[in-house]
Amino acid sequence: MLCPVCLSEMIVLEMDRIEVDHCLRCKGVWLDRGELELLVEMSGAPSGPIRGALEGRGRPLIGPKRRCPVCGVRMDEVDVEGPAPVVVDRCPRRHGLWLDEGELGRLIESAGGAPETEAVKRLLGRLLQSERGRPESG
Amino acid sequence: MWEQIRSNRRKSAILLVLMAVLLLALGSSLGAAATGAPEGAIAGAALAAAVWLILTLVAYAGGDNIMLATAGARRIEKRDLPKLFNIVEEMTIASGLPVMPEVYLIESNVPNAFAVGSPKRSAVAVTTGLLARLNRDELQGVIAHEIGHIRNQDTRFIVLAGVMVAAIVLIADLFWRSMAYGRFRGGRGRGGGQAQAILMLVALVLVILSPILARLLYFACSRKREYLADASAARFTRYPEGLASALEKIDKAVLSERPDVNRVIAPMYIVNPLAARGGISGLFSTHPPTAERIRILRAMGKSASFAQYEEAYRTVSGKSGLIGASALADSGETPVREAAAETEPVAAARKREAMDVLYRKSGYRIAQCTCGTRMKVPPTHPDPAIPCPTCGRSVSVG
Ligand SMILES: [Zn+2]
Ligand SMILES: [Zn+2]
Ligand SMILES: [Zn+2]
Repeated sequence: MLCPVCLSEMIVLEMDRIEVDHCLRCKGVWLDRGELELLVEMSGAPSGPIRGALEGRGRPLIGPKRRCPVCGVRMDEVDVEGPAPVVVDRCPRRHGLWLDEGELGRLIESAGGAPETEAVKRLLGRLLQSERGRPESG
Repeated sequence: MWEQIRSNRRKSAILLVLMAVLLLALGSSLGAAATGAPEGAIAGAALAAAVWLILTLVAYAGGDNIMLATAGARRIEKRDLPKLFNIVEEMTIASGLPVMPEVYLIESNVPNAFAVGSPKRSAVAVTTGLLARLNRDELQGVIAHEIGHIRNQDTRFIVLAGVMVAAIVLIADLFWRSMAYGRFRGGRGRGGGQAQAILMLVALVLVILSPILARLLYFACSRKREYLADASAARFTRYPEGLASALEKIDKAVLSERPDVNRVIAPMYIVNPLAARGGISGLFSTHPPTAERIRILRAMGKSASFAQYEEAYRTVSGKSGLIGASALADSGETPVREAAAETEPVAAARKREAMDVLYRKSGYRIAQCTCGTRMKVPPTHPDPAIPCPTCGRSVSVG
């Protein structure tokens, strides 16, 4: 699948049997709806703010258009509710959520104890730790 | 069962003739209305027949492949998914099908399955979502249902009748388009007068009614075939609960998922993804209500015979005469077997197994980092090593 930001082909990362698509160039993450459901199901947590954002009412995205890597439809933006709400891109046909590099960090920081967000934190936290741990280049 | 299939075949032939009459009537009335002359009727009918003939030829030459390609199905081998192949082999033997169907995999979270072809050359297609959600008994039930369709020759009928519906819809559609360009409006200045106005009215009525009628005929016939395929599945597997439980899971998932399905293929799936959402119901549905199919399977009790299915069908739906008398008499004792005892891998593991097959088929290289992260690298990334995004180590993806 193509990264909606830089249009280069993403690689697939499988962690604890859940897959995310990851752009090596811009470090963005595509969280597929099916994988999100699988994650929530496996962790036994009820649906929370992230699933809510996927189904929620979107606003038109300002700036350059970004297309859903699954269906090619223009994505909109939604809020992931929490102590510090995070704005993420979303396919209006609910194929999944796109998290830019910074958004992933903010989403995980504002986990706020919701079991669903904690599960996402456990999964994706590793992606973030490695970024923090790595020496800043350039 | 055989007389049932024969009677089905007779009904199918009648249905196809009715549809052909409808198609020709539509073509000729449109031709007459457009030209205002009787020769127009013949030309119109000829045009309608030509459209149908072309579509049928295309369907016969490559219909199955078109269906599979439209659904995005990929052919897989035994070494890709041996467990799935074992089930298909088992059910081929249980059903007495002369040739094992080819097996196709579709990438979709929506659990579903369909079959195409004739007993001598056929294929079953399942989605990755189906493999993820179902255990072995349930998957066996679904495969048996699909093989039941192939064995009962339903797959071929659905293609033939579907083409006829498509031709009628296409011609009606052409009419509306030419209306928009004003071709039918003034009769091009020829003083046809009242006669043409009446022809126009007839054509209009046919244009509105024939697509509806064609679909009605098609759907009425395919619903009974669903019950028969369920009855076949119960008998082939000797475990009606497998299919019942699978249908329950599929129906639930289909309702919550957004259908990414083409309207032509939708009626072929084991649970119609478009109808399940409540858009189509009653006369217009290709499938009986899934809840009723489940209730019938669960009412079968200790026997998996055709007679027992007929009995359960009568109890649940209040109707009878689903299965022919000879099949009811000779089906004999078919005691229900025990549930398969096995430790089932979790849904996520089953989904990874199915998806990895598709990744490999698409030329992805799969590598495991020592930190536990697995990387699936598309062929467009030629680099022999890639830094692991979760730990930074360089991982070779040879
Ligand atoms: Zn990118
Ligand atoms: Zn999409
Ligand atoms: Zn690693």
